[in-house]
Amino acid sequence: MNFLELLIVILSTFVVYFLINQKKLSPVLASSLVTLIFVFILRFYSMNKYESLVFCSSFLGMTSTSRVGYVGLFFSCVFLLGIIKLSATYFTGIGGALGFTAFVSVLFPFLIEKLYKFIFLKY
Amino acid sequence: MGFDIIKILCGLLALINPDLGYSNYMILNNNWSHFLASVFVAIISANVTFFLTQFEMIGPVLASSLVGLLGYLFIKQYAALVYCASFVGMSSVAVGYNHYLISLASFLAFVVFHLSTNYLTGHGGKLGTIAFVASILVYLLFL
Repeated sequence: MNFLELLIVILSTFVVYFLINQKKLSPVLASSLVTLIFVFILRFYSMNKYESLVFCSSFLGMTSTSRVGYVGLFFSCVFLLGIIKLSATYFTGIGGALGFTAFVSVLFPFLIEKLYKFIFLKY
Repeated sequence: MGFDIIKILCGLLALINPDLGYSNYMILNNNWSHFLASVFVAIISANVTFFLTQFEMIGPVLASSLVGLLGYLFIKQYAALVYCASFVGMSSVAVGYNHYLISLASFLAFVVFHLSTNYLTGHGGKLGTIAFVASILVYLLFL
């Protein structure tokens, strides 16, 4: 994991999350628009290898505030990067793998939060 | 014949789980034009993405986001379905996918998409997971 990758993931996730939950943009529009803009910026600086990372993290940003908050989303960014690094060789060339990775990584903080509320706050 | 099978399948699924709001709506109101339009949109958007993916200059990420954006701009009521199907189209030719398998996978994605309408709403990666389920099913069955 290098710092630039983490920065790209956090930036694109939170931009999409902010656009959807604060500016009330459609999730599809926010995700595709942010991906397009980021892809063109990355291509301008010849960093094409980070394209899939941006796309994957934009799915993470499509999460609703009722599911995961800002802190939970930060942790899911780290999880996402870890899962992508570990599963880079698997699932290559199969559609939806990036979305599935995002789904799994957002599931961790969601379940931890649920578990915490169930054990300590009794609801 | 195939259409009847789909009708029976949807009816059975709706009987098993009455919460499948959208499927029920389509069956009860006999809204088959909407159903067919959804299938058509899913198959077309997956195939367009798959076609664009093969150009090295465009690539899967740009192709999918472009199709998603166009889907939102022109057919807003099917935007989520278009985006979901475009993930199916990101499948690679190197793995062995072709236009027939992509069409099949996008149809499966459409079925799963409609069955999961009331589940996991607002959960990031839901559409991608649906596409992944459809793609991996086709991969395991035919490749």
